[in-house]
Amino acid sequence: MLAAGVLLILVTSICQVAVPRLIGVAVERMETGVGLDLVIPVAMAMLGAVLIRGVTSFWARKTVIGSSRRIEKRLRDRMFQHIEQLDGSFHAKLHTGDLMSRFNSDVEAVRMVFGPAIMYSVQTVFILIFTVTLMLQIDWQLTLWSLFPLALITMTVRFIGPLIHNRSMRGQEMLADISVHAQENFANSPVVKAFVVEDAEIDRMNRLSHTYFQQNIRIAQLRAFTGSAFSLFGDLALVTLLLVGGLRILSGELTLGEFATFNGCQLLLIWPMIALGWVMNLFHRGAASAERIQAILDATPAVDDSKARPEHQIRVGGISFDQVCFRYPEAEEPTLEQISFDLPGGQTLGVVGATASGKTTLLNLIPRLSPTDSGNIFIDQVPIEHYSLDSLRGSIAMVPQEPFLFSATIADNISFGVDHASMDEIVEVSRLVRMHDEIGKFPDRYDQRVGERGITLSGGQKQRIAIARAILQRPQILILDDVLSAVDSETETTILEGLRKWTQDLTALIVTHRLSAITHADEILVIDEGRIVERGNHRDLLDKKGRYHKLWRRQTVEGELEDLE
Amino acid sequence: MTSRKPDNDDDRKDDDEVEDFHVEELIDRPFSRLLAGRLLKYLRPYRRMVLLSMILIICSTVLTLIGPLLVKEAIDGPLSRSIGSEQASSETGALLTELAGQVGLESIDKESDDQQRIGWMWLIAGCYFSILMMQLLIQYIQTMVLEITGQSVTKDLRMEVFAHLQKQSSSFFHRNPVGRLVTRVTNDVEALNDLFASGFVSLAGDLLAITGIVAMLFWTNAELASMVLLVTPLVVVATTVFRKFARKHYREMRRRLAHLNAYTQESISGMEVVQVCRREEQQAQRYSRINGTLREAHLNSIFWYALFFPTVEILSVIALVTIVIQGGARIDAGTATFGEFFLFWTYLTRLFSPLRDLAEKYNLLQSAMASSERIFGILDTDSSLPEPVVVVDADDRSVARTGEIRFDQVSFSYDGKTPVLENLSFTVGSGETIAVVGATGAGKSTIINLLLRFHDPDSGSISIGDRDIRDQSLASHRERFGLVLQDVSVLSRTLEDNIRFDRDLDRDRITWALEQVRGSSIVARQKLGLEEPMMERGRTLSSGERQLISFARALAGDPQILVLDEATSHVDTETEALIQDAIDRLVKGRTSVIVAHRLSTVRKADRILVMHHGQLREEGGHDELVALDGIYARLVKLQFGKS
Repeated sequence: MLAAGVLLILVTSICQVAVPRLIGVAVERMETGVGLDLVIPVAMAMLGAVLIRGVTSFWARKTVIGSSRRIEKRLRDRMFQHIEQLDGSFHAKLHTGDLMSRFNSDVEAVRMVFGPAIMYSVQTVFILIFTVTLMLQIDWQLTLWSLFPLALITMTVRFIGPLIHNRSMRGQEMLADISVHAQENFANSPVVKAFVVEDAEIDRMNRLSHTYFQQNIRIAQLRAFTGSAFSLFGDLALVTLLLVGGLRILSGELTLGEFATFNGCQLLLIWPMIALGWVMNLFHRGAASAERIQAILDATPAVDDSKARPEHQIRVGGISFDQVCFRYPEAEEPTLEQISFDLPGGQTLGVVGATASGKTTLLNLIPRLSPTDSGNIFIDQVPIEHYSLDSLRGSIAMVPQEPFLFSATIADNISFGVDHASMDEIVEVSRLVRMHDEIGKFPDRYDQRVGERGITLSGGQKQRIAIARAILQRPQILILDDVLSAVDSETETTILEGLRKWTQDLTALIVTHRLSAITHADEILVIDEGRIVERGNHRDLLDKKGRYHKLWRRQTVEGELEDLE
Repeated sequence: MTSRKPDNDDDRKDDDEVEDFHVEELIDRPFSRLLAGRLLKYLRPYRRMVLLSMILIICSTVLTLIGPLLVKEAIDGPLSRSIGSEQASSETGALLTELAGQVGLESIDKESDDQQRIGWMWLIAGCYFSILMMQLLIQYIQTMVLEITGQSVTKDLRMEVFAHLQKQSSSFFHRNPVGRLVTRVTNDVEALNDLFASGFVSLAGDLLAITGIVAMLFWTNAELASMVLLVTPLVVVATTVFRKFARKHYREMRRRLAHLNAYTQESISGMEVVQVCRREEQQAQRYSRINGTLREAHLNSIFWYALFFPTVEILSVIALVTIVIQGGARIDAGTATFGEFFLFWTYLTRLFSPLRDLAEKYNLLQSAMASSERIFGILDTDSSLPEPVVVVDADDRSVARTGEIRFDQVSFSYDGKTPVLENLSFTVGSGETIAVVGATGAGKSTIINLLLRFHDPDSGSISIGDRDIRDQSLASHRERFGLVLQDVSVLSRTLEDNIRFDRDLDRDRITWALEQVRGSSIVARQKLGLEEPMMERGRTLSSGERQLISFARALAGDPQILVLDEATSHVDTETEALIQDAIDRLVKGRTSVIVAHRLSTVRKADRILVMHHGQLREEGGHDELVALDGIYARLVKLQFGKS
């Protein structure tokens, strides 16, 4: 592919350089006055050259740019597959926005290297070789004189180009600030009105607009300079040629035809000289981007199948934690300390505790979304690392705290975790989470799209769909992370009762703020700052009159009424 | 909303999904004189700048035309040994001869010696060089003048739209999605910037350059010119066709890229779900497929680019070949000179780029028309509430200092059909705290909206301190209130500015307000304290902390009346206690209206209003209402807990 591209560019360049050479010949023939008969074949040769060039440059572009687009696609695919293998700590470190810019601007910068940068640098090299050879054959001093102003063009692009690039990036950030301000202002218009700060908000916008204005002027200055410089240096080349070449014509060292050849070469060289500077910048930028992309591709998944043995399969789903500790990469304090518990298969574990006490982290360790720092987690007495990820995660269904729905249909969202699901099964689980009737009210029922281009669901609806998705997977282990917070307590109770019937021999871990959801749990852990501070079943914990008891009293109406007296 | 047909296979489905992304900004509109006229009005304050740049453009065009003429003079003059002095018959020639006379050079003829000719060459090169320098200066100034004008107009327009939107009523913001409004102040305005900075005036510049070159060609050799110029319409046609297709493909690429980005973003955000469900492979396949559609769009568009550049090149060489053959014949016959040959050659190379620009400018014009139509659409809608004819001045606010609120037979409907409030009457005494409760859609939030005059009631009246709120200016009416809404709005500014919220409050006031709501610990936790910049939507704060910040914001303004729409989102019990404590401090000594969702809040209110289907159904204290065993008693059971 590349060889073909280079060959095509070679032919293109030869045909390109042929034109000024032929004009030179034509002028010479006119000068000597041999008549029109000799000029016409030269003209025809020019026409031939440009036609060949048309065909070859068409294919050169298709080949080189086309292959760069294919490379781009493969690179993106590879990056996507790779980030899918990476664990939570990678995704926690790199913001979605940053990752997105790897996929967009960085991939594009690398693409530019494989496409335009290669195409134009090869072309520029060929054209330079041919024109300079041609010019040197005629007059080496004049060659130097002619090339000098053109080299200034390359320098201008090379040195001012990056400045423009940086200033434009900064300008884009400023425009983003304007956009954020407008967005926040419009989204909060009631508050803005209530505080009567419209004028101050306008002032703020005015300031943002003004900085953006100034930045744009700074960019314009550079652009105006380069724009003027291009035409200046191009014309400067002509003046130099006119003077130096003219003097040589007078001394008889140069013919008018050769002068014409030089003129043609100069005209031909202007664009490649611009391209030369541009291409250098592309390589520079591309290298930086390639490095950033490589850093992603080099990131090794902290969780993999290296210790997995195929014979291990989860059967009962009993979970034990043994002295498990966990700390986030940049955190000072550990999130979990010395967590130990035994949950026999088929039983239910409730986990309660304040916000940020480490409950979610604990749950994430079970399907190995993150690796533990020390301590071990066993399922059916086997360390979880000994199961393949497929078999481990295949037996676990997890509903995260923030239910995540894809912008697809409701049916697609519910059946996301299984290969094939019949409509009956989908309806069955929807009934179980009390969503079937509500889905029936959507215009497209189960084919209703949600998210970006579909309808917006309430928090409670999203949560119930996420639960339906989980139970459709018929897991051995079900993990619910505060999943019914946006559902009223009556519905919650109904759903949980339904789940209990459906999941009789299923192991369940339930994190919740609403204690009523876990009164039936076999064991309840009260977690505070990463440690288990109380454990036992509902009755035991109430009898202890400790932290759990305090929480319980606060949450029940009776408790509140007692407080009054 | 297109419904999906059941027989669609996966690829078709992807195409469907591609359909709607960012379509709006890709709509074109044909040139409209009305819109253009209205746009031109924005240039009026800068008419001097526009005039200046027009003059500069004319100067620069003329200078560009002179350069090649000098080359012609050189070739036909000092460099030619075969011609006589009659060649110096052109204007430039005459000027040059005069100039030459001043530096002591004689005019050129066959017998002129080399010394004379060399002197002439220096003279011509010197002239050319000084023209270049002038041109550099003029072109730079001209570009900057235009750029400053364009940017200024853009800024004016942005500010006009933004300021206009500030005046719009709440119903306007309900009708128009925020994202669309943001596009008006950003992308649409930017599209017009292109038009002002490089559209109007440089369009004139291009036309001027083309006219100038064509005129010069005809003036030099009319016969040759008419033959050479035959190809120029072809260049325009080729460019127009190319632009049309390139634009079509560009849009297709944009659309598919947007789709790919949306998919990538979604996959990254939902990565945990993907991993736990073991859907990595399926997701990657789907990604690869969407990625593939983008690649196809790219490959399709290459065709047009690959076709266009050679086509223009071929056309320009055809023009060149015409000069070579026809020029050659004329030189042979003595009706043309080598200088003219060079002149034609140089002019032709300079003719092609403005020709190509013209087609480009037309596209620019089309998208600018579409943008301006959308912008004017906004500017032409005015939904601001009427201000009173006779504004009650500041003195009369002392009357309102009592802060007593009275709703008298208020009815209201958002759409003019379904009533949201019906004949609602109640009073809130000065310093009293009332809680409004009711099921979703009972009209609780509407009471707030009417009280703050986000809307005016359809009938009935609302008064504060015995004065109808419509008789006061909006600003002086709203300044009495402190408002806390359910959706807490933490903005991406510093913590301090979030509480100050653009009002004229000093730092002590802000620290005080934070202390009052027991929010000082939030400041202590930030690295930069009050100066800490907040993330969009306050992502780094917990929901309880966000709530406290909005309380502090309301309190900092020392409002006479507090209006609070309590957050429904579930917070843990300890945070709830913290918030409750803050609310207690907020309402102390202020007339307060609270749309309440927590039993603890409701019970502490002086009086409870129970709303049901837009009507006030029960009113009284907690115990009183529980004893009534009506709607309130049921609500308590349903919403506030379970027995």
